[in-house]
Amino acid sequence: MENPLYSRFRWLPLGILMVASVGCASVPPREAAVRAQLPVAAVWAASAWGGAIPSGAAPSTPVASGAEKLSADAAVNLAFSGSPQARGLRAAFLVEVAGIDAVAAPGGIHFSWARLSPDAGLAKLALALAVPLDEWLTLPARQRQAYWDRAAAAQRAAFATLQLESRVREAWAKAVAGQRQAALLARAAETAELAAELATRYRDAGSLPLLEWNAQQQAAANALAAAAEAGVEAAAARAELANLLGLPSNDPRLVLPEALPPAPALADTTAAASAEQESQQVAAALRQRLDLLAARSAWMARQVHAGSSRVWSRLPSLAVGAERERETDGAQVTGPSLEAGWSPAGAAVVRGTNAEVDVAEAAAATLAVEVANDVRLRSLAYRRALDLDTLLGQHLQQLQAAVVADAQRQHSFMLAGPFDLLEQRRGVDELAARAEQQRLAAWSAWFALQQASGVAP
Amino acid sequence: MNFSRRQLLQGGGATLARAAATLAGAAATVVSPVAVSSATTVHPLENFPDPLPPAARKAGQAPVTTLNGRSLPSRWRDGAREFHLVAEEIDHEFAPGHAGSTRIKAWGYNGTTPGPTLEAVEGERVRIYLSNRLPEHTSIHWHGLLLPAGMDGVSGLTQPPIPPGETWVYEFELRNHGTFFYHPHADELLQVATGLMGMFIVHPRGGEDRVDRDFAMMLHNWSVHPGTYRPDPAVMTEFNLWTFNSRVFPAIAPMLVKRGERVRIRIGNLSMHDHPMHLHGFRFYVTGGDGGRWPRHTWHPEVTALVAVGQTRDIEFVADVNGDWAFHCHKAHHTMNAMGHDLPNPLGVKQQDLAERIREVLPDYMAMGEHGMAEHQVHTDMGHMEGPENTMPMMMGEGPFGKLEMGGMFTVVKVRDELPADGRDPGWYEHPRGTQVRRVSQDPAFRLK
Repeated sequence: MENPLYSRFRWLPLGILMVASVGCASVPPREAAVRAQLPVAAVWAASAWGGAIPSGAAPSTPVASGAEKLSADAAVNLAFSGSPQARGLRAAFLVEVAGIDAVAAPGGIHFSWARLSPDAGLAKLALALAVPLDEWLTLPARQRQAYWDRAAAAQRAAFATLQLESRVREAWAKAVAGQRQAALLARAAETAELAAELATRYRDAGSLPLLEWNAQQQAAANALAAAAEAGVEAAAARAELANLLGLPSNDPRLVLPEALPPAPALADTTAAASAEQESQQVAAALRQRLDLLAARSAWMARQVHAGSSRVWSRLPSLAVGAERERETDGAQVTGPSLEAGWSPAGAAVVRGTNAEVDVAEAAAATLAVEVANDVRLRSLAYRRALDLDTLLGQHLQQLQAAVVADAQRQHSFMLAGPFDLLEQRRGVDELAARAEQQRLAAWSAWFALQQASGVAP
Repeated sequence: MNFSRRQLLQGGGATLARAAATLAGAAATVVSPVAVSSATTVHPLENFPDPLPPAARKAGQAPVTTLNGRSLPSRWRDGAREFHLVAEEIDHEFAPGHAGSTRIKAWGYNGTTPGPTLEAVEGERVRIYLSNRLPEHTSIHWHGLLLPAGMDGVSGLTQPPIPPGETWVYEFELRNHGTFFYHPHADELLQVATGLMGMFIVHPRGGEDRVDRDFAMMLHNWSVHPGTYRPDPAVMTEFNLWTFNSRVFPAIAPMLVKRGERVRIRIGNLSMHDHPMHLHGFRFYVTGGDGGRWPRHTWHPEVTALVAVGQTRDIEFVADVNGDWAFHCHKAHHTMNAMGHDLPNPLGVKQQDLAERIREVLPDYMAMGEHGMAEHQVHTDMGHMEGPENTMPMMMGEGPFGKLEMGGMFTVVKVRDELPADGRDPGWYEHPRGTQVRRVSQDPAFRLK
């Protein structure tokens, strides 16, 4: 299914294809081989901007329970349908591409005109037209470099776009979880207040010492404080989501589902399957992560630049043209012109551009190592988060419900007091809030893993 | 020796089979064990073999009635009365036939806790085989009997422990008479807490004053936490089940007596608490215990006799008044089943309105105890208050006039002019006209606040 996000950025592949068509005209065989190895434009056209980024596992996105509730997908659509964040990404990309285009423009034409007026008689006129030959000579190399610079810029922009989408989805998840936690802790606080009120009744009847009465009042106060804190955190999460969507936090469209759905499950949780899945994710990330592709494109740009420098840096700058002058006596002369300039810095420039190639290569290699390790880390973190989500969300909550039922039965047989029972009941909501926190952690880990793997969240 | 079909049916077939297989090699010398897993009181006066042959009974020696139990058959061989006890894990129920009866994995002898009562006569030689079917070693201490030190049963001190799977034999002459009991003296805390105990009655060799009914009971306490199935041996004071012969009221058999009969109740205490045992309706005499039957001039009249831990006491009385007479420990919480001890006291707490709000988070919440605890049995008997797993209500029992609100160490002595010949319970006593309390007025102004 086409991601609606990408449909709003169809101008990008067109630009990339234009770049490719220009650049490919004069690509040396070795560079062409590298291009084949790094199918920048093809990957782009087919994936990021075509709407189908290669992905090992189909990402499952949270879906709202009610039709009127804002789903994660709907939040992403809102964010990319005019939010300042998305507009800023696009503008920044255009700024960068414009700069690259300027550098890669063909050589210009120098024109000069002068009128020198004597005290008497005709003014002397000088007209010159010169073409800077070095700019035209280096044009193919500069355009090949621009091809890679544009590719790097586009890949960085796409990476930033994915990051923005991921931020929107995570903010949505935080807002949903925050809202749920606040509701649960509010109910826990209500239960604690009931216990505190009951303690007062016991105290009024002369059956509860001050120490135990005070313990119930303190428990209620602590529960109220926790509920209040959760309420503020929920509001902050909602505000963060609203910021990303470019909406006021009280916008009526911000009606969130009651709870997070389960994070995507792992098909096979055995150690062998996990290792196999992890190695596949690492390979995919090294193949498709856009910041890594951008680093490799930048490296290629540096290589093209260095090659150009080696060829042209020791040559003087040349401009050829024609000049025509009218003397004060009316005589006119016309002839060709040549300007040449030479700098002893050529060798240093070559050394510098060669070193820039090394820097770019090292940066790409460093990033590749980081990407692989990041994927492994995120994969581990996700599996652990999912385990805990299962433990808390299913087993422990069921257990706590059973504990409350048992406490209820013990209370019925006068084996347990009402405060124990109410405390256990409060524990149901507190554990559910903790479970929602863990579910959010699982989703966050999922988003991080998807980002690390270079696929859409 | 011969056993009736009824004995075999009452006996645990598995126990018999296991023991028979184990002892196959020694069958010629070891008396076969008898398992007595039934909770029904076996009245010796019924058509059931007397554990002592008639020749062994002297004047006045009534066969012992072990409430909810029986005496162990024995045989005479090679100049000694032989018994065979098998220590093993058993399934035990504290109130068979009653809703919510607590069930446990207990340790017992010959299929029951307490084990069967041993009866013999002073001067006899006894040979007692003990087969250990427990998962750990054990021994038996013959509490109060005068015997050679090597037969005293203190593991590590007077004998090596008896390992699982082995059968050992104790043999000694009964030099003193009285009411005694037996229990392990190896890992004693755990083994007694899980139910290993039994009474040992030694009748005086020369006979004694006539006793028509001779009842025996072991007092014990248990800690079976709600939702668990094994007694907790680590508990020191907060026990939650108090038993006569490992049963709680109303599952404890009543003591059935004909009017005019002389009754003896032998009480042994292996619990961790002393028990003031109180009999309604009669003045009894404390006539003996571990020291045998006391001389008459030391008897003293009482209505309550304190039976200390590790002690036995015999009380005797003539049941000369018909009726249903309560017999119970007078520590009131010992006549309750499981109850919480650390709860805030709900008496006088007005919370009905608050309970409505609490039910919003706890739909089954019920405010109880504002006017007292008696309503608890009403609720539990009606069945609309579910209790914890494997836990009996603290109050049970329905009498002819309503709920008894009792549990634990409580039973009834039923005195009648005539008793059913088959030992059946004669039912509740019908009070003659004019002999029963009656209402004389009602205060129309009184309202519960």
